[in-house]
Amino acid sequence: MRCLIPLLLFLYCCTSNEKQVVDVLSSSNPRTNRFLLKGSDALKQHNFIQALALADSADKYTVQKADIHFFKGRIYSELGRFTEAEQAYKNALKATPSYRGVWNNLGNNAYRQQNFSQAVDYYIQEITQNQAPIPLRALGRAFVELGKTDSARTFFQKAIDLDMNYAAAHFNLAQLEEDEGNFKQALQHAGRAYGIEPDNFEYRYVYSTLLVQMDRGSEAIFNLRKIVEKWPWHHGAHYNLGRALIRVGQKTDGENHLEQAERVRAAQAKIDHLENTVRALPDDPYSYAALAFALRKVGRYNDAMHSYKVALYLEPENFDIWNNVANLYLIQGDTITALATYNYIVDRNPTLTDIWLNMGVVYALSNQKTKARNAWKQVLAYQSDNAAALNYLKKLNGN
Amino acid sequence: MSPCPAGKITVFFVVILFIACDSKQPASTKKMQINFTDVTATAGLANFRHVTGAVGDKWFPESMGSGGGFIDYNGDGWSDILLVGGGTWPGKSVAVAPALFLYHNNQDGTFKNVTAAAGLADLHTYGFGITVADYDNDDDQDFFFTTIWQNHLFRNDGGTFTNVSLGSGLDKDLLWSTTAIFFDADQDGWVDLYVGSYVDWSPENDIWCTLDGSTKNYCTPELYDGVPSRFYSNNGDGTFTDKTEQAGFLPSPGKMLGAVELDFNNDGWPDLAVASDTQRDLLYVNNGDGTFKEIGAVSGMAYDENGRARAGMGIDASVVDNSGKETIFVGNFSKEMISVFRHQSGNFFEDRAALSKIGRPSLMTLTFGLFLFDAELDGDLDLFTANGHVQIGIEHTQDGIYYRQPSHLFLNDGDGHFFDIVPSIGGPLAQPIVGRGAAYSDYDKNGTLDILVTENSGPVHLFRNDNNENNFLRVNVKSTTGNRNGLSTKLVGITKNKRMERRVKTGSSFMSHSETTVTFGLGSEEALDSLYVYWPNGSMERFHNIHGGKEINITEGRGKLAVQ
Repeated sequence: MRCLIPLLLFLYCCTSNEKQVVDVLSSSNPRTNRFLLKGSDALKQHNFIQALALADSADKYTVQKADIHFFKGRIYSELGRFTEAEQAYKNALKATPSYRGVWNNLGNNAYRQQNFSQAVDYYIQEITQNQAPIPLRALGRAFVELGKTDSARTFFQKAIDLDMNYAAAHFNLAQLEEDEGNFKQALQHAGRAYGIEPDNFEYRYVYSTLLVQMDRGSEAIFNLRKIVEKWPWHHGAHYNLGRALIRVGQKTDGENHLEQAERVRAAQAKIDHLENTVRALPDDPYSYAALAFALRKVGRYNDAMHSYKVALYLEPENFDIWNNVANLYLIQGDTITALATYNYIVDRNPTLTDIWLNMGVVYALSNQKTKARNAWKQVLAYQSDNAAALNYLKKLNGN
Repeated sequence: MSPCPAGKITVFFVVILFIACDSKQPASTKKMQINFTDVTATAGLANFRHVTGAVGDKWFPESMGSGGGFIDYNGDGWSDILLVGGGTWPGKSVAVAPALFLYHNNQDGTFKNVTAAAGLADLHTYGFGITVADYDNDDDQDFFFTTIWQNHLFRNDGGTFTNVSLGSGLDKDLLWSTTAIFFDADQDGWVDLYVGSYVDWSPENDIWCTLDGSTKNYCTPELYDGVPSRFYSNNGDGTFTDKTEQAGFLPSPGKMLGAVELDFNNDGWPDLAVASDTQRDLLYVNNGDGTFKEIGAVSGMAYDENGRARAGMGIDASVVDNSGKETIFVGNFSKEMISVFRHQSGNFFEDRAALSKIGRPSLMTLTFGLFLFDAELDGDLDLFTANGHVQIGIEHTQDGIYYRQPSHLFLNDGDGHFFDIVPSIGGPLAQPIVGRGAAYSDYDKNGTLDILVTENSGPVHLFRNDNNENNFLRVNVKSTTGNRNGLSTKLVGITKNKRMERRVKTGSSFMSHSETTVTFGLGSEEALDSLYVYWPNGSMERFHNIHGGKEINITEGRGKLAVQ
């Protein structure tokens, strides 16, 4: 049974930042589960093509087709391909009409497409089968978007009634109270969410901003400093830290953070625009690649990888994007996967001299001189006058 | 695993119950007495249509205009109406649209189109906003007109207008201009002019924007470079000099759509707050010599609570509660609250959008025109907003948001807490429109403030305020040592229970102009106990026991009132 846990953790998932309910798949075939487990790992790494292949493999060994459809629905949801996701989820329902989580995930997809009324309908369907905290909280969120705040508050509270340690519901209730101007209650709920999940920097941020708004900025400075250390791209954290510092008399430091907030905000505005572009052009790999580049530039590596992998799903043989993926692994310190990715590229197209060049650099940096030399020699095999390769080889031989 | 049928029924019941609960509105009996009547047709304004020149290209400027407002062009003391007609694109449309429409107030609730007679019929351009003031101190109302190309200054010559743009110094910048505001920045007695600029757009650099990935729709300004606004100093001889940089207005991010004059630090010098679209809002503090320093970000009024720039459009500012501090209001995009920033101390402002109770109800609307006025004459300033989206068909891609939207009328409880009464009272304010400009005036001289709203690619609306239960006092000022209109004059009216602070100003709202007459709502009081007039030159005059129900004129230094 232990091996089921990671699989089930993700079965109910829509977006990676949400806590999910686990359920037991009593009818799953162990072989199917193995494929789905690997598929879940692949999905976690944003390896969508691999995840789909594993789902197809799992399909061959089970009669419980709903699991497979549900998993495919999750993959397509992560890819932002909502039509395919909806079809997969509906196939799951066809196979097992009471399959838990399907309506919830359909609701999540509708929510992401800003079809909030549709999302409400789906969440209600889920709740009729499964009055669990997750769909109750999700229903609350959809009501918030529709301006139905009384309903939203009720469902957040119902989610908390079922699980008093449901941090996300406390967090949403905090945001709702904040919007309504009830800062004291907002701070209580934000503090509760933060207390339940002290490592969640989003909760920590909202708690801190509430303190700033309540003219208790001095109490928020420590947390806001921690947030900008972890998330240097977070303009809100810089902004609130700047304001809090100025109010306690640390004018120079505060103004520096306000200036940093302005710089980061400009980068964020570009990201916002690129996110709108991928929403409008979901089949365009270059839009995703551009978004990934912008995300990488501000240091949001995991989000950048996600976008690159969506681009590769759309255009699997685009080696420029593969090269960027390899470089991103490198930036994150994952030399092994970076090299594996470079090798993957040159296996398919050995004439790409830039890739060989990069491989050589990585091998050299990891003190694998022979491999570095071979890689740069490959460059010269295709481009005998490549100055960079000649230079690198000269330096390597000189050493 | 299988919920029982009873469980299902319970869940549905709960859902339906709470959806229904959301429709309730906090409204007192008193609030329900507020009533507006759409008198557009009976007033003779039904034939007006704003035109965008749209022929399917979805060019950005088509979604943004236009403004309008009130002007007493013939000096008879009755508010006339000046509207911006919009425009057409050269080479795209066969017909050309008039740029301006002037309607004469017949003093019986009706208006007559006098555009041609007033000399305004010959101008064809692509227009956006107006602002009105006596720029040459000759005791009549001139106006400035912003367009996407050259702006125009119209001098009032006894009820007809002369386009004096050429050679005025205001005709050189061919930029997309939006809201403009007259104010006497250096207090030399001649009103200066701040002209908002938007973005660097032209048909040649038009960007293809879409909501659904296949059809073009109107862009939002993030995609275009902002153009800094300009400041022109009045030379006192009918000409202006561009002192944008000299006066401290550069650098600036541009994309400006609204401006309001205020004096948040009470130093007697006019400051300027500017609403910017997807850029930080700006606060220019007057250095006491007609030059300015921008302190928006440091003051806390430039961004929302998360440091995000919002889509600022209309703007206004005044004292709206017992704190005696000025509060700035800015209309923003849907899913963004209307900004409410109250001055705290020093150069700091506090965000009160949520606390004021305006924030949450404003999240579903996109606000353009916005102004403070005393809707029910109870002595507190209320907030009106004209709303409407820029994306045709937004309801198909964003659930809960609509292209045509009702207006908001947030009534002030006297302590800076507001409640939108439009859902409760219904009527013309609840009608969904594509609102843009908004202005107020007592056009029928019954003491109540009426509302003018313009629509994008649509009609104008004149909403008559039928709430005449409360008493009022209306005050016109005329400065003899400063600018003739008395712009920047602060008036403080005191009754038994109220202290009302008002300011004579142009600008505010979105591309529109409201009357400069100050209205004090007296509620059930018969008189204003005291009236303090703080003139721009720093002098103060005090008047006692002024009975309401009338409009009075105060000329600086005379020490007496004249009933109009």
